[in-house]
This record gives sequence, structure tokens and C-alpha cells, in this order.
Amino acid sequence: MSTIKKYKNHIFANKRRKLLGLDGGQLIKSYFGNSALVSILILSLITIFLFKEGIGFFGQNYQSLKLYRASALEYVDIIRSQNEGFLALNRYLNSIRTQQSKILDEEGYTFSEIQKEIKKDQAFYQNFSRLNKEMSQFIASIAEQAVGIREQAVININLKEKSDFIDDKIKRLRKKKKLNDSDRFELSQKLVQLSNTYRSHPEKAESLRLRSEAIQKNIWNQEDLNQFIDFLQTDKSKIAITPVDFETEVAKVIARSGEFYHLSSTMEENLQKVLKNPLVFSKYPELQKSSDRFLELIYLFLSSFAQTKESLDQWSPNKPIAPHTAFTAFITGKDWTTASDWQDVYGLLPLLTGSLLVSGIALLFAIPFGVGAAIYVNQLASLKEQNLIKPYIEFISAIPSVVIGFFGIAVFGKFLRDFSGIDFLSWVPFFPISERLNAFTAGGLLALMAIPTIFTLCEDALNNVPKSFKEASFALGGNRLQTIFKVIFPCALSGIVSAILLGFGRVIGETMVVLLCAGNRIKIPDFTNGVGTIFDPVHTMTGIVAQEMGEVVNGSIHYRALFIVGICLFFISLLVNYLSQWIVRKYKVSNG
Amino acid sequence: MSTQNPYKKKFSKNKVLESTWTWIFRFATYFIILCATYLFGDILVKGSKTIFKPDFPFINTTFLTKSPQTLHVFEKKEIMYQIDDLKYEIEDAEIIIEDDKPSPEILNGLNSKILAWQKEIKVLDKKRKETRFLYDNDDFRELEEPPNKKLYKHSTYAYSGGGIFPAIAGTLLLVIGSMTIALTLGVSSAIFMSEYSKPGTTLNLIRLSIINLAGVPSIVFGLFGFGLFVIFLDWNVSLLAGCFTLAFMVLPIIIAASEESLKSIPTGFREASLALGASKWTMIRTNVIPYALPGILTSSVLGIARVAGETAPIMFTAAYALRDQLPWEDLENIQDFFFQGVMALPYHIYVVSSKIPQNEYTQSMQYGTALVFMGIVLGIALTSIVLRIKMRKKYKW
Repeated sequence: MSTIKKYKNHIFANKRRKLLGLDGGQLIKSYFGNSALVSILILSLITIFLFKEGIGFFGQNYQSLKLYRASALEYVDIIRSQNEGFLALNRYLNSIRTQQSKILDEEGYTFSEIQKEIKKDQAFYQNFSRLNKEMSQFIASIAEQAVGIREQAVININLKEKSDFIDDKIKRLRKKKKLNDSDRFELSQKLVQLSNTYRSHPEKAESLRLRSEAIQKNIWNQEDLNQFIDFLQTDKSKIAITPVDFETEVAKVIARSGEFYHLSSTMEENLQKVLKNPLVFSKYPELQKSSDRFLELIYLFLSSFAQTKESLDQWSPNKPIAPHTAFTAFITGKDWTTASDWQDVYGLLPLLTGSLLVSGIALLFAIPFGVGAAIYVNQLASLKEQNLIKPYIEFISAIPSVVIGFFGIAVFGKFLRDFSGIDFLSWVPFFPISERLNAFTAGGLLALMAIPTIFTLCEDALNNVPKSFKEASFALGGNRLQTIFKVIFPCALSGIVSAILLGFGRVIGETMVVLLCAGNRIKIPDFTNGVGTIFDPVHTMTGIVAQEMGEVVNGSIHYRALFIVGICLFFISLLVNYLSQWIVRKYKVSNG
Repeated sequence: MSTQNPYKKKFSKNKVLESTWTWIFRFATYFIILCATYLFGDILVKGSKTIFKPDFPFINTTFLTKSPQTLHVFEKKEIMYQIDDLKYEIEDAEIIIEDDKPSPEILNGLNSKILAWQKEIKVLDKKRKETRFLYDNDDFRELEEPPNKKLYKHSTYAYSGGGIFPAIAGTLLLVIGSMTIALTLGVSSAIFMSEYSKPGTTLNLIRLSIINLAGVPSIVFGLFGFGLFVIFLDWNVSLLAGCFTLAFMVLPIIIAASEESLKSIPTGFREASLALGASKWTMIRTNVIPYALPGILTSSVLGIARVAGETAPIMFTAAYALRDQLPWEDLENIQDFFFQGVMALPYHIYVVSSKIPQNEYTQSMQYGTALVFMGIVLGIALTSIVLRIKMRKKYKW
């Protein structure tokens, strides 16, 4: 028996030391396992955290939309939109005026002669622009009224929060009977304030001051705590919330609709007069055409009056807002307005179109150049060329984006503007371009960033085409070009498409280049300009986050809106990645 | 009898087509290279004017060792007025040429006048550069008597004087901190995933999500870091918040690349080691990690280049536009070191290129910073590329 024990101890014994019941191997395994767990937790935390911060946006946006309706801002906006129609008419008239002076200029009139010629029609132009003077004043005053209602509501919400906060504090103090650091600071401040009021009793003031110093040094008793609660209660009692009587206030706004209808009818009369004596350009058929169009537009504008009246009549502050509006208003919103004194609007479309426009321009250059270079290097270049070009293009991908952005500001933007300004190119309709920093500047630079990605992955895809395919094609008498276009390229197509998608993913997520070079104007580019649109300044999803994140109030609706934009970017990149993997899997050419 | 050479190259449509396409592809390739080279060249040439100087020690030590400062420039008013006058004259003459369409004689006269004026401007400009005074803010304050305001025009340019040392130091700290975190976590996770865990759906799912996270835009990581570290954990804008944000940004890349290089080691190595009686850890330590190390190293060097080059994640988690104290100066206690904001090269480039105008005085700071930064990042990237090429030749099985 003892011998067995002895042997057991010596030969087969498990000599390893144990820690927490695990031997060395298991400990190591658990270390690695734990770090894997930590990494995965962290990476899932990113997703969760983005959602946690972002999702509150929809609730806040809903509240904001509700307040927008309840405080009759929406009502005023209907009135405003009619006035916008008039302003558009006025802009059209101005464009006729510029057209007129341009035509006269082309006919060789001097500056003073043009002025004389236009002066004849000047009265018409001026009278027209004055037609909405009273209407504008009316709108300004009614808007002020509506904003006043909203301000009061916002103030009430803030006061409510403040009083709730004090309530919580009192409850905590009564329960725990303890003063923490910030409480002590607040209390000592209050005591000092109180001591300042005892001017006539210097002794009393002095004792209060001593008490405040003692409290700062964390010496206090129950009496101090009670006094603090008293202070808080007086603070709370000072908060007087006068609830907004939305009904009467809004009724006051609506009551002014009579005034609006009156002004509208005056405007209608005046416009009828305009219709009776329109601008006549007997000498210039082009201008006459514009003038006729102007009259048509006036008719259209007048016919919109009835609709405005209808929507004003139907409008009611109590009409419920569907909860999904908070979501749809964000996804389909055409404006992104922040920190305005009217209504803050968070709409994704201007940013999304900007991002897509810039990426589109980048891909327009990156696809032909990237794929072309990949075909050249993989199929046509000599070995020496290959060994030089491949690392060089990979090297380009390491250029930091902020350096490329800086290059765009310092060199490329200027170059583009100067280039578009040379006389030789003046036949191009949208040259010379007015903005140095625009979608094209950013797109051109982003192409340089997307090319290495597209090139490297394309080259891999071309490389993966089995050699026997190429040999078979040659054996059948195909030349190099036929082999490339008819055998190798179609075989590698799935890889090439996925490379392009990944290039797109890289471009749409790029921040610094677009922030520095895209011009940062938050507006949906005007696609009616045709190709010239690519020279419009735009703002992008990445750019807006980078630009505005530093200045937002933590937890505000604006802060959450930026997180939602981040989530959209997150999903776009996931979608792009998923698509590229799916394409490769689905259209894999087997080399059997 | 035909005298024609039967082996003479025949003209055929196909051949023309082939050579045309070859030239198109060749053009595309070299055009890319040309563009990139122009970018490198532009920054190199203009930046080296800031970094190097013609006399000993040939390197502008002030630029590399000092903090950014406001630049004070004093230029002689007299010369500037003269230059402005000449410019007006030239403009007037150009307007006359354009509008009045003068006779050839007058035109020639005007043109030669313009040329003469332009020459004069050049001479004056040179003189202006010789007579002007440039002071950094510190030097300016120590001046006993600043140049006479009646004679000299005084203008100031923010960030354009001094140097960029705090930014270099900040970038280095960020890189070291984030790579320490990312490598410890990333490599261990990769070892677990490739050596210990059982293959299955869960592992594939995790792998898929890691690959997908590698493609998420850096600004989204910045947003996450801002929300979690800066606001939720209340670390404020600090070195630590920046390090963690950057580390999480490269973590998926490091895990994916390390796992790839661990996987590429033949199973035979592992089996042979286990057959000789080695424990699992001994097997990993002696037969897997040494061979996977080059691959891990390459990917981590690439990760360093990415971390050093990114701006978006640190914009609102770690970077200050200006902070002339160095990170290790004036610390009350040790944790202050981690909870302080730092300057960083990429953010500094962003600030100097977007917040201050472009002119001859600001340009030297802008290009100098860009060159130093590009030098650092491309140096790291080049190391990684060279390493990879060498390793590929060395390890082949």
C-alpha cells in the first residue's frame, strides 16, 4: 500500500501547482479565453452604445414636433410657405432682369446705355418687389407670437426639471442624512450669501461665515443639514411655473388669420393688375418668352391661395402626430438646421446626397484607374514593373487622409479653380467654377484614396483566376487582349465588383478629406444644373459629425441626432461589407 | 517572284487594338503614380524649406523642439505701399487693354510697361523680405523695444511661429498607449480563437462580425469613444480616452490579421509537437508563435501606421488645438498624466489648414507639419511593406 502511494507521488503524480483549482495550461487557456471575451464584449459594446445614445433622438424629435404643432409654429409655417412662393416669383423676375442686361450687353450697349434701357422697366421691378411688404411685416409679428408660446413652454419644461431636481435632493438628504462634497459647497455658498445680508449685525454675519468655513472643512451637524433643506425648500418655492394656456394662446394666433386673408386678397388684386399690364419685350423674343412664363407662374401662385386657405382652415393644434413621423421626418427630411431661433430640423437627405455625390465622383475616377492599373500590372506589365508599381500603390494607401485634405486646400482646390478659369475652356457651360472647395475637389482626392483599395483587391481577384483558363484561351488562338477581356476579366468580375464595393465603403466613411475640401454647405445639391452640380459645395454625413460633435450640449437632441447619423454610417458600412462578401461567395468561379 | 519579306510584321486590326488598350492601361497606371508622386513632391519640397536650413546643423531645431506660437511680422510700410501702388497700376493697365481694345502701338507700350512694373515688384518684394522682422510670441514679449509702428506694419498669425514638439510627443504617446492595449488584447484573442476555441457557428459568427467591424468608418469609433469615455465615464478630453478609442478602432484589424497568420502555419507543426509529448501551451509557445510572429509583426506595424494617421477618432476624444505644456510637465500627481488632453500631429494639421488663412507666413508651419507627419506615417508603412516582402521570401511552406 505504501509503495503504491510512494510511486504515485513520484512517477504518476500531478506535480503541477494549482491556482484557483486550475493548473498552468488551464490558466493560460483561461487568460486567452478571457481576453477574447473582453475583445468581443468591447466590440459589441460599440454597437450597443451607439444605439443607447442615439435611440433617444426619436423620442426627443417627437416631442419637438409635438411642440412645433402645439405652439402654432406649424400654422405660421403654412403662411410663410405662401410668402416663399412670392419670393420665388420675385427671384424669377430678377433673373429676367439680369437676362435683359446680359442681352443688351452682348448687343454692344455700354454700361450707361443699359442702365437707361432698364430704367424703363425699373418701376415694374420695384413695384413688384414691394407687393409683399405688408405681408412680410405681418408674418414677422405672427411668427414672434408663435415663438413666444414655444419659449414659454420650453422655460416651463426647464423649470419643472429644476424643481424635480431639488425634490430629489431633499428626498436624498432626508433619507441619508449626509452632505456630500457638492452639497457642502452649495451650503457654504448660501451661508456666505446670507451673511452678506446681515450688514447691520456684524456678529451674526461673522458667525455665519465661520460656519460656512467649517462646513467646507467637512465639520457640520444635524442643524446645518436642516438648514440646507430649508434653503432648498425656499428655492423650490421660488420656482413659479405658470402653465402655458396653449388653447387661448394659439387661438390668438389663429384669430389673426382674418388679417392674413385680407392681406392675401390685396396681394391678389395687385397681382391681377400686374397680369393686366405685363412686361413687354417686343424686340427680344427670348425675354418675351420669360415674361410669358412669369405670368404663368403668377397664375399658379394665385391658384395656390385657395389651397393655403384650406390647409389653414383644416389645421388644428390638437391633431395627433403619428409616432413614426419622428422617424420619417429624419429619413426624408430635406433640411438640417440647428441652433436656429425658429425650429431645429434634422433631416438626413442633404447629408446623404452629399456623401453619395462625393463618393460617386470619387468612384467615377477610381474605378477606371484602379481596375485599369490592376489589369495592366497583373497581365501586361513586365516583372520589373510589377515589383515597383505594386508596393508603390500600396504605399499610397498609407498617406494619412488629413494630409490629402490639406493638399486639397493648399494645392488641388486652387488648381481646379484656375484650370476652370482659362479662356480655352470657357465653352464648358459651368466653367469657371465659383467655389474652390466643392464636391468635385473632395471627390477627386478621395479617388486617390480609393484607388489603392480597389487596385490591391482587383489584383488579387485577377491573380486568383486559374492559370489553365489563360493557357486554354491562348491555345485556342486568342490573343492577349481577347484573353483579358473575354476570359480573365469575366472570371474575376465578382472579385472586382467586391473590390469596388469595398472602395466605396472606404470613401463614404472618410472624414477628413470631405471635412476640409467638400465646402461644407448643408443643402441638397441642385441637380437641375446637370453635370455642373458636381461643382457645388456639399456637406456629408461624416463631415457633419466631425464638425458639430465638439460643440453640442451633451444629451441634447442635436447630440443624439449626430449619433443617429453615426448609426446610419455604421449600417451603410455593414451593408457594403456584407454585399461584397456575398458577391464573392455567390459568383465564385470554380477552378475544377 | 515576290521580294516581300514573309516575316515582316503585318498590320492587323487586332494588333492595333491590342496596343491601344495596352497603352490605355499603362496610362492609367502611370497617371496614378504621377498624381501620388506630385503630392509627395509638393509636400516634400515645400515642407523641407521649413525643416531644413542652409547652415549648421542643417535641421531647423526650433521647429522640432518648440511649442506652437503666434507669429509676429513687421514689414516696412514704405515698401508695401510701393508694391500696392504698382499692383494698382498693373490692374489699371490690364483693364484698359481689356475694355478699350487700344491700337497695337499703345498695346505694346502698355505691355512693356506692365513687364517693367512686374520686375520692379519682384525687386521690391525681395527688399521687403530682407527688411522684415519675424518674432515668435516669446521673443516678441522679451523685446525691449518693438519696431517703430510708424515705419513698420505689424501683423500676427496664430499657430504660425514656434514648432510642433508637443504635437509630435502627443502623437507618440497616443500610438504607444493605443498599440499596447490593442496588441495585448488583439493577439491574445487571436490565439484563443485559432488555437483553443472549437470551430463552429459561434466562432464563424464572431469572426464575421470582427471582419465587418474592421470596415466601420473611423468617425463612428470617434463617436463611440466620445460617448463612452469622454461623457459616460467622465474622463473628459484626455490621453486615455484617445488611446482607448484608437485601440478599439484597430482591434478588429489586429485580431483578423493575427488570426490569419496563426492559421497559415501548417497543422503538421502542431501535430508534431503534440506527438512529442508537449503540452498545448508548450506547443503554442515553441511551434506556433515563433512562426506566426513575423505576420503578427507586419500587421501590427500596419496598425501603427493606421493609428498614427487617423484624425477623426481623436478629434473630440484626445486632441487639443493648442497646449504649449508638454504632457509630462507640471503634473500634480501621476494620474493627471493620463487625464490630460494632448496635441497631436494630425489634428494640428487639421487646425492649421482649416482655421488659419493660407499665405507665405502660415505656409511654412502647414507644410512643415504635413511633411513631418507624412514622414512618420509613411516611414512606418514602408517598414511594414519591406518586412512583409522579406518575410514572404523567408518563410515558405
